[in-house]
Amino acid sequence: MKKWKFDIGRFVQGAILFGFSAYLIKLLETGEMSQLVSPSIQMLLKVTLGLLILMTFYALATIFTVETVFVEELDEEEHKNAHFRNQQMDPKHGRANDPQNKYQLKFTFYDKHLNQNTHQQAPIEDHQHDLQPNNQLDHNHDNHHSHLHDHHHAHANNHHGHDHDHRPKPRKSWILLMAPVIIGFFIPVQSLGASLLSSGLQSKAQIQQNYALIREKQQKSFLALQSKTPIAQTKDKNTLPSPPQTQSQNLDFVDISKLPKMTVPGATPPPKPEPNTEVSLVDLFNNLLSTPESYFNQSFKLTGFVYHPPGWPTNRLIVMRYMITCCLADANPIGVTVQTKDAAKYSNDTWLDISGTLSAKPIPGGDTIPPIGWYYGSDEKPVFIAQEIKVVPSLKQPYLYPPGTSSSLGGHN
Amino acid sequence: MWKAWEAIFLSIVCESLPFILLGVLISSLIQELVSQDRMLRLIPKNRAVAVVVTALLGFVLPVCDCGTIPVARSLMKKGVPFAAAISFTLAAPVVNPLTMIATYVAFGMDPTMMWTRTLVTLGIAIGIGWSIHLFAPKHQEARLNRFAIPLPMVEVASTSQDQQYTPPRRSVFRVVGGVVEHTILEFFEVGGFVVFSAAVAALMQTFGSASWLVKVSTHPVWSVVAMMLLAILLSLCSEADAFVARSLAGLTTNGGLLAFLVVGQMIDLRNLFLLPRVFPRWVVTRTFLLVALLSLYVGIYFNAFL
Repeated sequence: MKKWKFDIGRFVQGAILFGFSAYLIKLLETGEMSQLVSPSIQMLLKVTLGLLILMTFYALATIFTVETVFVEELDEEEHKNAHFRNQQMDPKHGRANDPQNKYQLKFTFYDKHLNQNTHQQAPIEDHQHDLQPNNQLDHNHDNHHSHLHDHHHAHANNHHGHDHDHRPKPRKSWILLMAPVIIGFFIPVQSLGASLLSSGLQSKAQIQQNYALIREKQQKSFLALQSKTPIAQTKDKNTLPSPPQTQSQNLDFVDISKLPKMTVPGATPPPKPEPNTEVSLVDLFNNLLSTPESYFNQSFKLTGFVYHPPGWPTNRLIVMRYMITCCLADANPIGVTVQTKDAAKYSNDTWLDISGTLSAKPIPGGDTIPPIGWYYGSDEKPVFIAQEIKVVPSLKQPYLYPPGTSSSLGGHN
Repeated sequence: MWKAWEAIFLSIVCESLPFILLGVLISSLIQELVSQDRMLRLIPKNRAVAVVVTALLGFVLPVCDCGTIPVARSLMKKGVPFAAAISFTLAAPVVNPLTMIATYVAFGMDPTMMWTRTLVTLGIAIGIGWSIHLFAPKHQEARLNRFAIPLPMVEVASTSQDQQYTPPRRSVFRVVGGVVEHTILEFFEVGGFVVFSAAVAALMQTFGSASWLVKVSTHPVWSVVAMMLLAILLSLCSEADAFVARSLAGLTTNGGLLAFLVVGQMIDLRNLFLLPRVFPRWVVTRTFLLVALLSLYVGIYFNAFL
């Protein structure tokens, strides 16, 4: 006797899996994915998508389950338990000869020990079967299919007491799983902007104290983060000249020998960028300390969005981008100070293409401003003297990725 | 700001999705294809040695911290003791080649931090494994947590050792079906918690303030405590946290950085929700306490003597 049964839990699972697959396809198709995760994760997500689609198909294919009830040979208690859902387990498919029987019996035996409330009759019977030689065991099962009933009997009597052997009923926690799909579909994603710098964990702007002290400690430290070779000595903060100064070509020229330089032993220096070409902020971030001569006093282009730190003069702004390793939770702001008369004209989050020359000037408290804090160890900070500024639409791929990690395999920019 | 929250939340979910699925897939494969006998033969009989071996499993099973817990659970279902499963859960996210390379790169190609972090994590994981092995309440040892999620255990053999069972030969189709079935079940068990912790971590990122971190930035003890709290709240992926730590270098002491890198993969929001569902309560409580105390100690030690 067979009955088709609609498995509501499996249906909800299938729907959620379908939602995830559809959302991932949408993200990958529209390219929105690059607003969320790094290229290497995107590659992984493509593989994931394949698995998700497989799971979706499997879930949808098993929504309807066949319930088989053995009327003969079973007592009343067992009637309601002796059903099973998986079509694969239909005795008509020749399952009776499957050597896996033995394991099902073992399971029952095991379960008996786990559960005090186990219905006594069947497990004992199983135990006896279990001690029989294999041939006879199989023979018995061929006769009356009791292995199937045993298997499910054990499941149904386990300490969780629900009828389903292992298909859970819909749970509240599944609603949580739907949340990202629903949010993702209905609310368009915006790439991170400068506003994250004024609140949130990135906001280090309040840091005003003790920086010199920390730095001194760091230079002595075992990490020696910035000091493969000793770098510029800490100057007394009080002697800082007051910025900003009126700009002139002479003042913009930097004496590179006074700037920190750290060489990594054995590392090949990065190639010098072609003049007047685009230089990625991440290259600047990575190479400026090891090869300052390739960038300072050179003309090139920078792309990024605008950030005005609170209390800055009107002729300066920061052009920045976020560097991400895996996902936005590890977004790291990287920027360079730009000096231009029109700084106030550009509001936060405006994307700019800037051509100019890199100089270095003192920026008080520069170490504590998140996007430019990466260049620490010197009071002179890189300042990009802008010659031409163009407003551009925001990039399709707004984030930068660190080189040398697996993340950069997907290529950046 | 909610826009930023949304972006970070979806980003964390998307980023952890492959790793969760990888975790539940490996777990399902173990569940379906490795018999208990074989598993028990692979893991050394001596539990103290088994703890060390499983702590190093990260080199073989590439799981991020989103994926370790389902794998640990399937290891336990196959008869691996708690002590060994917990040392795997704690060590695998850090003691694996991917995380080590990421740490190496993030700290300016300087291997000091990479080795310090890896060895400290390994030490703590093994120490906790041993402590659970040696000082377990007797009646607790054999019993799986009653809150443990029920899983289909078609292949679970009896505890009697007198008979040798060879795994049944099944058609490829049926094996694949079984693996997919397990994968779906486990995905739905774990997924909700990962999404929830992603939402909380995104809230922290967007609305939390780092000013409390700055107030104690040079204190040898409180800076370590602050960085540990931060690591727990951020719940970063093990491949990415070194880069964040690097960006926080100016805000804290070196001991704080080390504690951040060590604690972050052992206690975070995901583990806070998931560990109690897989391990017995006494194991979880002891693990969290010991992890917190030991990393605090290591952090302060580094600040004081190095």
